[in-house]
Parts: sequence; C-alpha cells; structure tokens
Amino acid sequence: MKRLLVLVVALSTIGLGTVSTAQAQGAGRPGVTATEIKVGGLSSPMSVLNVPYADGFDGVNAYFDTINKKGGVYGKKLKLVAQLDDLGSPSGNIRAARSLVEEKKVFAVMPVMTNSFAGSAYLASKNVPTFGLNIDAGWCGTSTEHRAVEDAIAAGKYDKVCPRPTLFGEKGSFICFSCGQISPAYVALKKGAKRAALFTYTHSSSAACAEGTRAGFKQYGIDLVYEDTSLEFGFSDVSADVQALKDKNVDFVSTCMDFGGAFKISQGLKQAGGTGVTFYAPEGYRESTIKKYGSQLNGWFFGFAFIPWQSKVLPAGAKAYLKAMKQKGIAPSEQSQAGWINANMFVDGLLKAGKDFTQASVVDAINSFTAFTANGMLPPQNWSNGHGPDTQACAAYVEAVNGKFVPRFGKPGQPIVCFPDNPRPPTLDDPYYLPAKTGTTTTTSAGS
Amino acid sequence: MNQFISWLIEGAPVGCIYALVAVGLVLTYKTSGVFNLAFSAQAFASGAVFYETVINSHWPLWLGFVFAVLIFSPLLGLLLDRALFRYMRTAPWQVKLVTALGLLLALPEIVKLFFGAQPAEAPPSIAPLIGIDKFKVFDVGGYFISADRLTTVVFTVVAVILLGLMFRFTSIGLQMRAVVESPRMVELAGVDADRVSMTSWILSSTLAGLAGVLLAPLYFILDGNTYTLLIIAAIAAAAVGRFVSIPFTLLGGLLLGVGERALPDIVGTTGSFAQDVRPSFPFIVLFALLVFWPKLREQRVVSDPLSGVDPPPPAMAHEYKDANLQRMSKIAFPIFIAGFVLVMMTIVSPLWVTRLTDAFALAVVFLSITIFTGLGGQISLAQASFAAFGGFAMANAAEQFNVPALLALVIGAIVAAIVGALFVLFIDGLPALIGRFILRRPVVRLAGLYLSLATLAFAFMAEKVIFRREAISQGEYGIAVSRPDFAQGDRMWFLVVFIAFALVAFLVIFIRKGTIGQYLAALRGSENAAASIGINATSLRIILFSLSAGIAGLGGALIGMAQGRVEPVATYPALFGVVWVVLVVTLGSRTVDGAVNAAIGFVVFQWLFEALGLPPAIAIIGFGFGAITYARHPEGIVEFQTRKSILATARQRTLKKRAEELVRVEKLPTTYRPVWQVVAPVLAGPALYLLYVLVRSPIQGRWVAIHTVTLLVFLVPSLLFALVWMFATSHRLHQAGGVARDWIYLFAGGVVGALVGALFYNQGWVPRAELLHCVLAGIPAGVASVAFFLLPVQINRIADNRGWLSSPISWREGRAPFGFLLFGAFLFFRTSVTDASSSTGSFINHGFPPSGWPVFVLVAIFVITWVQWVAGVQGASNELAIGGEGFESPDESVSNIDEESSASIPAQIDSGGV
Repeated sequence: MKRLLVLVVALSTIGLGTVSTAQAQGAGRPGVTATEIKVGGLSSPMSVLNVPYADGFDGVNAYFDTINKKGGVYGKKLKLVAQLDDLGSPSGNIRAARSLVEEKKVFAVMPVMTNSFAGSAYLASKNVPTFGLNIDAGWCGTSTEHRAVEDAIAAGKYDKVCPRPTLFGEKGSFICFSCGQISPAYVALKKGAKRAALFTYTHSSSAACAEGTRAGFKQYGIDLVYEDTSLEFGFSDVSADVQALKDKNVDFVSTCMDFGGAFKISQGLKQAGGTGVTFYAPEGYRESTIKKYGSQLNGWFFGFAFIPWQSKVLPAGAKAYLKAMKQKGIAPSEQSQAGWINANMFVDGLLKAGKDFTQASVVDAINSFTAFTANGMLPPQNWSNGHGPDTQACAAYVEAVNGKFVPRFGKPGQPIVCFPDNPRPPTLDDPYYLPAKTGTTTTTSAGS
Repeated sequence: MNQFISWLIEGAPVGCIYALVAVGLVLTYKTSGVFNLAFSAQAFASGAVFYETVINSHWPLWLGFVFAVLIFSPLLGLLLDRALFRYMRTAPWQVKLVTALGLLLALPEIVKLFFGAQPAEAPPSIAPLIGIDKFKVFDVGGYFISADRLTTVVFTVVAVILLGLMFRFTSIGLQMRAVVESPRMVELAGVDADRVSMTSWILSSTLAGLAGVLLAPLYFILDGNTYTLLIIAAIAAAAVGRFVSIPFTLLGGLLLGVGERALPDIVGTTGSFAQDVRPSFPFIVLFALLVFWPKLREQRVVSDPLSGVDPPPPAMAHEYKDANLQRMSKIAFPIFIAGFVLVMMTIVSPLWVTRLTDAFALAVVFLSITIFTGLGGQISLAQASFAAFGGFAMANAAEQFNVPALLALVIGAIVAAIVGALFVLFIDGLPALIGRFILRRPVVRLAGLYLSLATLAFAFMAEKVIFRREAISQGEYGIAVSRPDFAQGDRMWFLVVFIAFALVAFLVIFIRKGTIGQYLAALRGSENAAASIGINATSLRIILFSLSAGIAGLGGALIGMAQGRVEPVATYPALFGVVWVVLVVTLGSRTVDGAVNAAIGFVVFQWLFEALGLPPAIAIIGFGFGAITYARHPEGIVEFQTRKSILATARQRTLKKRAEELVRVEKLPTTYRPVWQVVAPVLAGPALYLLYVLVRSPIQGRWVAIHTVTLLVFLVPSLLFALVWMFATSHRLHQAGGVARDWIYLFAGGVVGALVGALFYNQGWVPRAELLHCVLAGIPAGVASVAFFLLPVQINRIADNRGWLSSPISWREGRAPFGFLLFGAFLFFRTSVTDASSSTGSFINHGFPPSGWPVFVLVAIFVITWVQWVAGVQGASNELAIGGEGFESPDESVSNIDEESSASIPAQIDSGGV
C-alpha cells in the first residue's frame, strides 16, 4: 500500500508539470525575465582521460560576473542556473539536456563539456543556442554526417558543412579528427627532430588523435620510428616503451594521452638514462602542473588554440579572464577558459541581436561573425561559413623552462602560429602569425 | 636470455603489486570465506589518505605511512568485519559476493566525496622510508630499476614472507585455516572464530593499505578506476594459486607482471592484435584459467558441514496473500496498470515520460538478472556486455542493412541470445572435451563464484576487444540509430518500451511458474538429484544463458534506440554490469517487482540527488551499501517489505475480528482504538494541503507559492494531534509496565530539538525564518525523534514482561521516519553550502516547482512513512490491549494465513491492561 501511495503521489506531482510556470515569456525567449537571462550547462564529472570538465562552469560564472557588475545585458543579469552532471553516459547526457530546456527552461545551454554529446541532436532540434567544448562529433551532426564532412575533406572538397547551426564549440563546430595534425609535426620540425615516437591509449578518442598525428608526421616528413597505440589509461607498464625509445634513439615524443600518462613515460625515460628528448603534449597546460613539476618538465612543449597566458602582451580578453580567475582564487585552465569564451560569444551574440533578441536571432547573429576572437584570446573564428571546415589552422606553443611556461615559435606580440587549412600547405616552412594586439573582434562585449 | 632477464627485472615490480593484492584476496578468502573484491577499493582509500596527509597536510612521510597503513587500514578492516562480514561467515557465496561488490562500488565514491573526484597526480614515494632517494635509479647489470620499483619489491617480499611464516608456525595462523573449514566446528573446539576472522580482516586490510601506498607512485596517479581494474589482475594471480596457496599466488603475480612486460616484445605495440591483447591480458589470463583449468574449479569448495541446518528461504510474498487479498490484487493490478499507462500517455510531462521510459528499458535488462540470478541461482557480471551485443546488433541491422526498427530490436535480442549460448557452450563444452579426451575423467561445470568471476573477465574482455572493433561499433562515435517512424514522439516510444517490458515480464513469470522454473529450482538445490530424475543440466544451462542474454540484449537495444546512438564503452560500460547486479539483487532478484523497482530507483535517485544539489556519487554509495541488506534479506528488500506488509495486514485483520468479538460481549478495553481513528487526523493535514495545492494551482494558472501561514493552518492541527497522541500513548504504555519516566525522554527530545532549531537559525540554514520559528519547529521534531524509538521499546518491554515470544513491533520501525527527519535537516544544511541556483536552495527561496518537486516528493514520502509508523505503533498497542496469551497472530508459515483466530479472550483485558 505504501508503495502504491508513493507512486500515486509521485505521478500526480509529475503530471502537474504541464501546469505552466509563472514567468511571462515571449516566444523564442524562454528563461528571459525582466531582470534575468538564464542559462544552464552540463558536464561529465571527469573525462576518460582525466580532464576536469567541470572547470567550464567556473569560466562561465566568472565572465557573467564581469558583465553583471557593469549592469548586465540590456539591464538583465546573466545567470547560470544549473550545472548538471550527465554521469558520463549518453542517456544521462540526453536527460540533462532535456532537463535544461524543459524543466529549467533556460535561454541557452552553456557550457557543454562532456565525453559523449548525445544530447546534441535534441538541442539542435529545439534551436537552443548551445556552447561548449568541441570534442565530439555531435557538435557537427550525427556520426554519419560528421564522417561525411571528413570524407569530403579527404576527397579534396571543402565546402561540405555541418547541419547544426545552433551549436557553437569554443574552437569551431567541426574538427577533423582523422585529418593530419599540424602541431606535433611543426614542433618536431622546429626542434630539428629526426626520430619521432607516438603514444596513445586504446580509447577511441585517443586513437582518433593518433590517426591525425600519424598523418601529420607522414605529410610533413617526420620519421615515425616507434609507436605504442595499445596502452591502457593509468594501468600500463611502460618499461618496454622506455627501452624501445632508448634503443631507437628517439628524440621527439608526441602523445595523445593525459598529461599524467605522458609524464610517466618521460620519467621512465629519464630514469633509464634517456636525455635530450623533446615531449609534445596536447594537454597539461595548467599553472598547477608547472608549479608541481618545475624543472622536471624541461623539454616539454604544449600546444593549444589560444593566446598563452605568459605572453608579454596580453589581449584584453585574456587579461580580464586571468584577473577574474585570480579574484575567485581559481587556477586558470583550458576548460575554464573555454567556458569564458563560450560566455563571451553568447554575450556578443546577444548584443548583436539587439534588445528584442530571441534564440533564433542570437543564433543568426553569432553565425554572422566573421572574425570572433573573444577580445583577442583566439585566432579569428569565421562562423559565417556555416560550421564547416576552417580555412586556417592556428596554435600557440609554450615550452616548460625551469618551472615556467615560455611562449615559443611566435613573434613578439604575435604568439599564434597559423597555416592555411583545407587545403593544407605542402610544407610548414611559411607560417603566418596572428597579431594578438590587433586581432579583429566583431563587437565590444562589455556592458549593455 | 638477456631479453628474459630484462623482462624479469622490469616486470617483477608490477608483478609484486599484483601479488600483494592477490595475497590479500587469498588471505580473506582462506580465513573468512569472503572473496573481497573491494580489496582494491580499500587500497585506493589508503592511497588517498596517504596522499592527503603527506601532500596536502604536509605530514612527515613516515607519519603519513604509519597512519595510512598501520592505523587507518586496519581500522577499516576492523569496521568491515565487525559491521558486515562477521555476520556472513556461514552465509551463501552469493551473499558474500554481492556485499563485496557493493563495497567495490561504494568505497571509491566515499573516498572521492572526502578527497575530491579529480585524480591526484604525483603521489608521494615511500622509498625514503628505507633510506633510498626517490629519484635514484639502480643499475642492475645494465638494466635500470627505479627507487619506487625496488621499494615495491622489498616491501612485498617481506610482507609475503611474514604472512607465510604466520600461517605455518603460529597458532593464530592455524586457527585462521581452521576457521575456513568450518567456523562452527572450530567454535565447538573452543576457538573464538569471531576473533580469528577479525584478525584476518585487520591483516588483509593492512596489506591493502600497503598496496595502496606502494602502487600510487608506480601508476603516477591516484585514481579509483585504476584500482578497480587492478583487482582483476589480482584475481588472475590468485587463480594461479587456486585461491588457497600463498606461495603460488605470489608466483602468479610475478608471472603476470613478467608476462605484461614481455607482451610488447612478443605481440608488438601497434596493430589490432596488440591493441586487443595488451589491455585485456589480465582478463584473458583469468578467463583462461577459470575455463581451461579444471583443477581450479575442482578444489574443495569452502563450505561449512553444519551449514545445512540453516532454515530454507522464505516463500514468495504473494504466497502469503489470503484469498481475499489475491482476489483484490487480480482486480486492482490491471486497473493500476491501465491507469498508469493512461496517465503517462496524457498528462505526465514529456521529460518525465522519457525518464520513466529509460527506466523501463533498463528494467528489461534487469529482468535478465531476474532470470539468471533469481531463477538460476547464479550471478553474472556480464549483463552489460550482453546488452551491448544486443545494442550493436540492432544498430548494425538498422543502419547497415536497413532493417525496420522493430525487427532490428528483435534481431538484437536474438544475436545476444546466440552469444549467450555460445558463451556457455564455450565454458562448458571445451572443458568437457578436455576432460573426455585428455584427462579421461568428467570435469566439474563452472558455477558459483568462479562462474561470476569468469563473466566479469568476459565483460572486460568484450569491452576492450570486441566492441572496439570498427566492424561492430563503426568507430569512436558509434552508430546513429532511429526509432520506428510511428514512435518518434516520447509517448509513443514509451508505449513501445512498456509493451516490450510487459511481454518480457510475462515471459519471466511464465518461466518461473512453468516447467523450466521448476527444473531450475531443482538444479539449484542439487544438480545430482536433478539429474537423477531426468533433468538435463547441460541443456538447461544453455536455455538459462540464452534467455538471460537475449533479454539483456533486447534491453540493450531499447536503450541504444532511446539514445539515438550506440557507442563503444560510453553506452554500456562493463562496470555497469556490476552496478546493475547489485541493485537488482538488493531489491529482489526473484520477482518482476524487484527488477522494476531497481530500474526506476536507478533513474529516479540520480535525478533526485542532482535536483537536490547533492553529488550524484551519493546515489552510487547508497546503491553500494544497499547491497549489505542482502545479507539479512536474501529475497530482496522489495520482497521483504511486501511480505511484511501482507503479514501486518493479516495480523490487523485478525485483531479486528477479535475486537468485534469483544464488542459483542461488551469487553472491549477503552485503550483499544481502531488504527484509522489515529491515522486519519495525522494524515488529514498534509493530505488537505496537497489537495489545496493541486486544486488551486491549475485555477490560477501557476504553482501556488508556499505561504507559511497557509501551511501552518493545514499542518498544525495534525501535528498537535500527533504530539498529543504520542504523549498519551507513551503514558499509557508506561502505566502498563513500559519505560519508567518516559515523559523525561520526550521532554528531553523536545529540548534538544529546540536547541537544534536555534542552531540552524544561528547558522543561517533556514532562509527567511525567525528564531522562534526554528525553535517551534525543532520541538516537535525532537519529541518525534525520541518517540519513534521510545514507543516501540515500551511495547517490547511490556510484551517481554508478559512472556510473549515475540513483540508486535520492533524499535527498528523508528529508523525510517527518523532517517527522513535527519535527511530533511541535511537538506536545510545544504541550502547554506550550495549555490543559490541549485534546486535545494531554489525550493526554499522560490517555492514550488520546477525546482521544488524533489523536496516535495521527499516530504510526501516522509509523511507516508511517518503515518505508517503511527499505524504500526497503534496496531501494536491494540495488540497489547486485546491480544495476549492465546492470541494466534499469523506467522511466517503460509498455511496459517487463512485460519481463523481461535484464541479465547485473554486475562489481561479483564485486568484492564493496555
């Protein structure tokens, strides 16, 4: 009887969810009141490769705080009303996405930082402006649609676009996971490396990165003398790899792993007497990392798609981000910065759409941006090409030197190194450099 | 030769780690019969404590080591033994396994709650403890071994030697070995088996602690998932020692470590084969040993010769229903189902339709566990893998071969069923062939704990080898799938899933009641006896595995279709198979009810905790510790509660008949009061308020805001009535011989409640409230908290004084309402620590839904629980009044239910007792 009563009570309350709430909302403006604009985000607790996704919420909150201090947007405060956890599962991701739209009734969804963005189809179908960390094919479309764009690129056709115009990843909505990666090859060439090695986990995202790295090495003439693509996250013994690196006189190591796994290899190599090897990692650019390991990281390079925080001349966006993080007592990280960039893009979209903004008009506004830089933090992003393959491949690089990150390979005041993309250049001899201080921005983003 | 030496030197440290963990496993298995799969979780806890003390709290290294390994770890082992495993020494293997699995899930989440979820990098090295610089590298004949690795070897060898000596040459070691044989016989010989078991748990936990601090610097990272996988390797090492021999277990660990080191040189480091074999090497070894080494499964099963005196399990709950109740159920149940479907198809919000649809899809998978465990008596930890087979088969059929969606679901089920059949043919057939043609003798079938371990190994192998293949999963992002065209909407999709669930549920019931169910029951009892009456165990096992796998496959296909895509790993993680088994077994593996409750609980609890702003890990901790109830209630919580409810209803009906007899002879005591007369006023207030909200909200087009005055107008009369009733009942019981000076306890409860209310106010945990409000709320809460336990205790005492063999109520009845009060207080506390945007804070600040529903549902369940307690106490009090000597209340025997009570009017009524 008790269970029956519980079920009846539960169903009756749930059933009354159809009763509308009090808030007066215009068409296309859920989550907008006279005083607030509500957004909500979702993340996985931790990525399978140990990346702290939840940091993204810090970045969004920090950006909103800076805007709200100046009066918000059109007199309305920006509010992150929900930080949902999808527990790392696709069905959890879908439920969380639906909860944000149907229960929390948010205007936009940000940040989305998850292993598996299964909810992307739903959010796209509801035309909800969505922002997050682009590491899943869902930002582009279904796996079939994403593969179609990749296949088109492989066939030399660069005009195929992703069919989800309401989804905005912090580095674009399309990433070609199987295309040759430029960054590892570029660093190897700059360091004069002759014999490279590659390490990845068997996990599929790591394996996709490996495919791109391998293709890049091949395209740009780096001799890949050793690979281990059968490592298990956290669990594998690397003695054999260390021995092989020594035996094959490897002088450059690229990894598609978490920083910890890569560091384990480098330490093993040092302990076995291997020296003078350059390590390149796509993950690990954190204050806490350099602080903890100091000179043990000498010889390490990190690559990422934004202005390094150690640049002598920081753009306004980076300064504001670092200041906000310092005020909150939070160490900067790629994930929190991604959240900040998401929030910046959203606010820029609101401002461009005008006072009577709707979800559709904000999406259209962002899709009209031809050079969005988040106030100088990023290489210009062109959203007007319909979420397709980008025409430039840009990255900034830092080297760990005696406990500090030192920007490399750029020019003074121009730390970002770029190459044309789609199609890619035959060599990496002729990059161009993006000026941080004169990087074009589409609009001012502070205040209303 | 050089290469072999390098394998040995470089593989030995890791092998020692495996050996250390494996030895701990063998130790507890040898001495307490528990295969402690949570050993790795204990190691993780110890590693986390070590990290926290040395790195974050800057303790000296030696102090952190002593605390983590020699204080914290043994205490943890002592706690586990005293609180849990000592009650399970003679319990069946299923109970021990499920409890260990529950700990395997819960312990890492508890650690993360305390120390944070993010894995910790660069754990401290303990090499300096033995005077070695942690950065030093030793050159051993041209081969390098780091300080951490050398330290690991040294500590492991010393630990194992000491253990071996202890077993061989000390009396405690001998006693430990004897306890394994038969705890009861050992006790008959005058040895305190309890103490011996406790000692072994302390020892093994210390080993776990040592393993935890040694492993961390070798892995470079302290992460719960890594330690979870470690246990599989340890089991493989322990299997080499046949789970009994410590020296061979050590050898097994070393062989495993050396083998792992040798693998890259043998199979390479790239290519499919390397990517298959290297990550899954420990699982392959374990699976191969379990399947192909008959001697392993033929070792004398650890069983107590006196265990046969244990009583048989209770009958199914529905068998306790009398004819009336069965008739009512047959009418009410279809009406309830029809009403449920109607409500889901019309008024329930689309998102909740989706959530409950996901739950019913999961329930289909859970019904596979009902078949395998509830009927078959075995435990399979690979149900997530069978679900994955079904999901990928469905997805490939639909997307690659354009099979219609519904047919694709069926294909998914069939393919999974075939895989299940092949699996059992493999694990039974191949060893049978080995026995017949090589060993020339029959081979014991893989069953019990070993079968469970084999399924666990299979699950991880499938995840790392099979589902990663491009041909099956089509790459990293999986396969996009679509629902049937007519079921694109949430409600129609719910109907599809619900119909599928209903069909499977009927199938399960049909099987349970039919011939196959009877055969399976016979097989569970004794395979030899079953064979003697013509039951073919081989074909029955094939049917069992196929059915179970097929049903899991159907569920997996439904889950995949609901998500719109089927991905490797993310959709069906192997570890989910463990979570699912723990859930279903805890709630009830013998009934459809148990599976449904488990599925709905799995989905709803995650939503509830998140909606309340609590970490979702709390749900996993709850599920894990819920498994511990399996020891007391092997039939499952749902079955237990159902049976209890039916028996209580029958008891009250008997009592009512007695009361009617007494009324006829004008001898009904004034202290007797029909339960409804007490429950109605208590329930009236909350029920009327709910009605007010439900009626007014649609009228005004929005949810009614919570106004304190309105709330009090409805609730205060019921609260006052309840308080008066508590005092009056307590006083009456006291006069009948209950607890002396009862009013002092109740008064003290009120005072403490008032003080707690004041504390809450001071801390700001009750927004927008005054001090007086908090104190006034605290007083009845405090009084009730005491009364929840005091009244049943009083009834117990009176029953004892009268010489009754059993009391009509137990103090345990007070735990549920008291627990809810505590949880409510905790939620108020959370309003101060959670962001204002979270649901808990929102409810308090902004009132009703959408954010307030979770708390609203909790309050509703609390009210129901509280009312049930009131009914229980009043009923027990009535039984004291008119029950007594000669009163035959229904007991656990099913045959008593329909008998009329034939007792004469007891003497106590004449003397004016309670």
